[in-house]
Amino acid sequence: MNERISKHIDELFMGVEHTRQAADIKEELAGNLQAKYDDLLSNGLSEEEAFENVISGIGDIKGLLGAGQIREVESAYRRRQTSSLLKGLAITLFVVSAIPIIFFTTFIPSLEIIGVISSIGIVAAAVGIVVYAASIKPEKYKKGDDTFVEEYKEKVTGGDKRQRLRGAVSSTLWLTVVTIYLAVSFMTHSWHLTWLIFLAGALAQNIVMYMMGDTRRVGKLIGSTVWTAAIISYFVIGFLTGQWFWGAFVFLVAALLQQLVRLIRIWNEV
Amino acid sequence: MPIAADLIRGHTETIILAHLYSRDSYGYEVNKSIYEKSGGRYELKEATLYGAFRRLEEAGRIESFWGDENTGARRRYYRITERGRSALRENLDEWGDAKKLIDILIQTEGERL
Repeated sequence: MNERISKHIDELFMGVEHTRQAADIKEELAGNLQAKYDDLLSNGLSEEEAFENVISGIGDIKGLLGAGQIREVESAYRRRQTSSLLKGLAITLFVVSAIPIIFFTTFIPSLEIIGVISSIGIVAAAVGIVVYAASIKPEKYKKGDDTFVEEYKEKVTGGDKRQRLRGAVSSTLWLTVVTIYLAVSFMTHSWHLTWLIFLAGALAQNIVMYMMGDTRRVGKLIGSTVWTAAIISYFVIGFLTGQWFWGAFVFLVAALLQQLVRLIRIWNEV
Repeated sequence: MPIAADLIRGHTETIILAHLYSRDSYGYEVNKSIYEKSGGRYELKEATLYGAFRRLEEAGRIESFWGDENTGARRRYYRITERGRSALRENLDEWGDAKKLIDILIQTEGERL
């Protein structure tokens, strides 16, 4: 990599926050400038001429990752993290929700109703958290050049509609899952098993979102499938053999499988 | 020619999609083709190009992957997606209509200018 060019790029990116996006742009810029530089040299330009040409062709890179946009990306990133964290918490709550019912039914049968109410309460809280997590997740926000203002407005409303549809489908799906859960639970009284319906719901959601064009979720889809299968296997093995500690191995295998899949996917991209 | 420059900037995304329709490519290659096809008259700024690439990628019309260069910095390659192809077709239709419309609107009556 030409030293003067890479030094110029470093200077350009001084003071820019270290986000993945900024690093990608920096590397892409370096690759393209190097290619252009070499091309100009082979066309007979002097090193000085080629350098000037390359540098003057950069344009307003700072504007592309201006401070405002970086901050926006950072806060969007933080919100996405919070959203994922909350979803994890919600899933934990779904799992834990079975405990009150099991506890009261086993130990204090006379107060069974408290168990039922507590479990439903925990499920309700978990659903609320899922909905909230979905609402704080940042929407894709694109900023265009000044000349793109009209096209940009069009795109934002287009993308917005798509996202609203996905949100609506997601909400409907979860309401359906909760309804099914309550119906099946009250009919079969198998509260210690019916919470698995929520796992199926998470899996279904990722499948539906993937089909609706949200390709980012492929990784999550694979993850959900692996973990759902793991948890179901754990319970099946546990109930059939009575040996609950074998369950630990199931989760280890699941974690291994997930990392393997991740490795394969990254390998394919590289 | 400010009109042409504005038009090129305004249609950067379609130009990129058209280029990627024929082959996967990276930033400089796209810009070089614009330069050559315009007879050396026009060239986009890197920043303009990257802005367009990013918008296209977020709209799912292109996807990117890093190249495997033996020397120097890695190049970011782009390939058009199915969504990109249909967007390109739509844009080309729209451009055809726009061309006809402008020609109609700037028609002068009477003596030919």
